[in-house]
Amino acid sequence: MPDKDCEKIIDLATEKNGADTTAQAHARTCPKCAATLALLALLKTSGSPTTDLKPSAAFLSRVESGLAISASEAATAGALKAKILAAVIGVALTATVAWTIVSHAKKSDTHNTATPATQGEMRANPADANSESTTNSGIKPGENAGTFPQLQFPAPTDEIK
Amino acid sequence: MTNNYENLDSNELIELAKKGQKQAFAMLVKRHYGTVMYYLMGFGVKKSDAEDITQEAFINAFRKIDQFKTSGSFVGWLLRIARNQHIDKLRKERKFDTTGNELDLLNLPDDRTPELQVISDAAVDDLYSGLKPQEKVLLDLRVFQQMSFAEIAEALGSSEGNARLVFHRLIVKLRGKFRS
Repeated sequence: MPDKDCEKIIDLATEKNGADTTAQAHARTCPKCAATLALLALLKTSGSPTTDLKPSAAFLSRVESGLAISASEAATAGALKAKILAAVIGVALTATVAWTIVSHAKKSDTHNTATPATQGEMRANPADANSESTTNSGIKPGENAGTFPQLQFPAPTDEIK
Repeated sequence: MTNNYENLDSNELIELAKKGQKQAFAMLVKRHYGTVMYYLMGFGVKKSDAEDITQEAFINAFRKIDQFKTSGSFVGWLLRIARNQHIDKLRKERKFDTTGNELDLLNLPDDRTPELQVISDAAVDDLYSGLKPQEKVLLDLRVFQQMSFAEIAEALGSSEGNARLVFHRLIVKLRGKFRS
């Protein structure tokens, strides 16, 4: 197996699933790869090279107090968010109710003004239509007389003169 | 305080931390402190400054823990927060390089702080002694956190090919030590 394939073994061995059976079979015949797999096994048992730096007690207490502050800030922010949300819902509800009331009021106003107009519509009265008599027209003599033109006939005495 | 949490794995601790359990998060702090510290020291940050940035990074991580998805790598996420924290600090000090060049893991200077050199020299027989901070972080991310090279590259601000190459060279170096 060429060097390039030995590099693949390193990749495979450090993947989550580890070296597969092909890689392990190759490692049995390749001293380089066998050493690599043994080295990786040793590294895993001896722990990460970064664990030699440990946090001091002072560092941990500073971080823990920082975490406490950020937790209380988060709680305050959460409470504020809840209050804002409640206020927004309240305003929205009030606005909806107000809008409903106003629109209903408008509708009823329109209905009230529309009713007299329909009632006052002129309808043809068949009885009046068939009647030739002006006396049945509903206009009584002397009523609104000034508004109607009146025919002036010569009096019979005028011819005699 | 955190004794009850020692046997829990990282995902269980994260879930508890999401429910607001500070002790569970403190356990995560203990587990990943070294990785974050070495990561920052790998950029040439002094230990005292690295500790301040690490502290802020952990507190920020706790604040944002709800945003973390357990399908991803917690350490990778943590390192991104630490990196942003570091960049913010540099910006404040007007030291941030805005060229946006990717980190070349191959040509990292051995800029170990005196404190770190003491730590390394104290464990001469150890396999890990003499490793640069970024190499330690790389080894931790790949072997112990089992992150993909793409995730490692993203966390370290490098390219995937660069991360893979450095890791292979590191394994060859360690193998040489191991054989001897």
